[in-house]
Amino acid sequence: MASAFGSRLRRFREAKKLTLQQVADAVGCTKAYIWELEMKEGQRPSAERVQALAKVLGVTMEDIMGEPMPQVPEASPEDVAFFRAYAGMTDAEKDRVRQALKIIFPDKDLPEAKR
Amino acid sequence: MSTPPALNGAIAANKVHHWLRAWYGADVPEAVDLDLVRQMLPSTPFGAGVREIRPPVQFNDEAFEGLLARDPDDPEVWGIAYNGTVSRERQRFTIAHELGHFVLHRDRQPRFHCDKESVHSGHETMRRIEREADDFASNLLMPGDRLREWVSDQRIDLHVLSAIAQRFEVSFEALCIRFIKFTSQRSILVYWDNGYVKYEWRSSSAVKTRARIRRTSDPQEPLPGTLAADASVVQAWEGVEMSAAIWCPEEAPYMKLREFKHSYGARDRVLTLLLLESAEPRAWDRAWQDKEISASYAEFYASR
Repeated sequence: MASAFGSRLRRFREAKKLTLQQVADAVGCTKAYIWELEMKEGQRPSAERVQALAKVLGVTMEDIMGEPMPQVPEASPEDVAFFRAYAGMTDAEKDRVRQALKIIFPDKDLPEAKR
Repeated sequence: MSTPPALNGAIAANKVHHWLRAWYGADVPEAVDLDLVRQMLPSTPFGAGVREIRPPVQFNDEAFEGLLARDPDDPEVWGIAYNGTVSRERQRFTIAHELGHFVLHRDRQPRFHCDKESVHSGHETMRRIEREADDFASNLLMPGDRLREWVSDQRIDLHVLSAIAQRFEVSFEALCIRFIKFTSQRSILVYWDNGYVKYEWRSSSAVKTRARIRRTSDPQEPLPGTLAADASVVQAWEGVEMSAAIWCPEEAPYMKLREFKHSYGARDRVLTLLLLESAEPRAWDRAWQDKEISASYAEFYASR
């Protein structure tokens, strides 16, 4: 089961259409290590490593790290019931859930995501 | 507080099929009409207190799969959004999955809430309900009686499984997972992601007879001698026979298995299906032959 960190890393990598090997070569580690970062929980990459990953993927370190996990599930009002892959959500993704809600219920005046 | 009835994804999906049969008479279509299910649910015991589930709407976003939501102003109205950019089969699975949440979880878990102390247990709960919704979708789209009829008296290969997937209008992967959970044959399904094991499923008889693939490294890569490790083999839908011990070290050296391989086009993802010969009784362990013990094994694995 991937961590939220891992899900984001994978999504950024796939958005850039990079292979595990390409990312591994660029940051100087093994393909297996990048795969573990993406797929396994409890990975603790160093700050330097995260910085190198962010550079390769063209995002900021904050984009990759996201919010600390304990705060993630809290942003859910009673109108959201279930969102696939919710645990990995960033603020931007919470906004997208709001947008999805607006599409389901177009006549409703829904609040913006909490910042 | 009343105790909720013991309902799981498979039981709930069977119940829906029961209602579908009553609705259609004899001829239920091979591919389940999810729109009919959606419209029917509010008038069944599974839709208590709900007036309407609105028609599913597309929300096309790369990071989005599906969403089930209650109308913020009207507790009797629910809605579903799904990612419309993926294959039609996958869209169907997502909608069925969200209907599963509607049936199984909408009262139990009206919202996500994990306090700081229970973050881990909270995520475990989420994983469990996601599995239940998947079970519902899987059993709804691929009912067991029909699957049994289509796979029985037939030599299984990926052509057969692919044809069944098309009749159910589900993805090949979804059908393969359903087959593994359903079949009485000893079999193992492995999903490789970028060359490493992502998921591994074993049929109940494979679990009972302790058929498992050899572990050598972490993360696990395919072992030499297997089709999975052979980059020159892209597809092996008819399967190739080999010694079972190449994959499963505990199997006797003369036992055979058939390995099947399906590679997905652009995405560096591979499905491996292993069909094993029946295990022979082992002197040190005859437990798997005993019906009663098998039943408790099944319960043990189901409860995990």
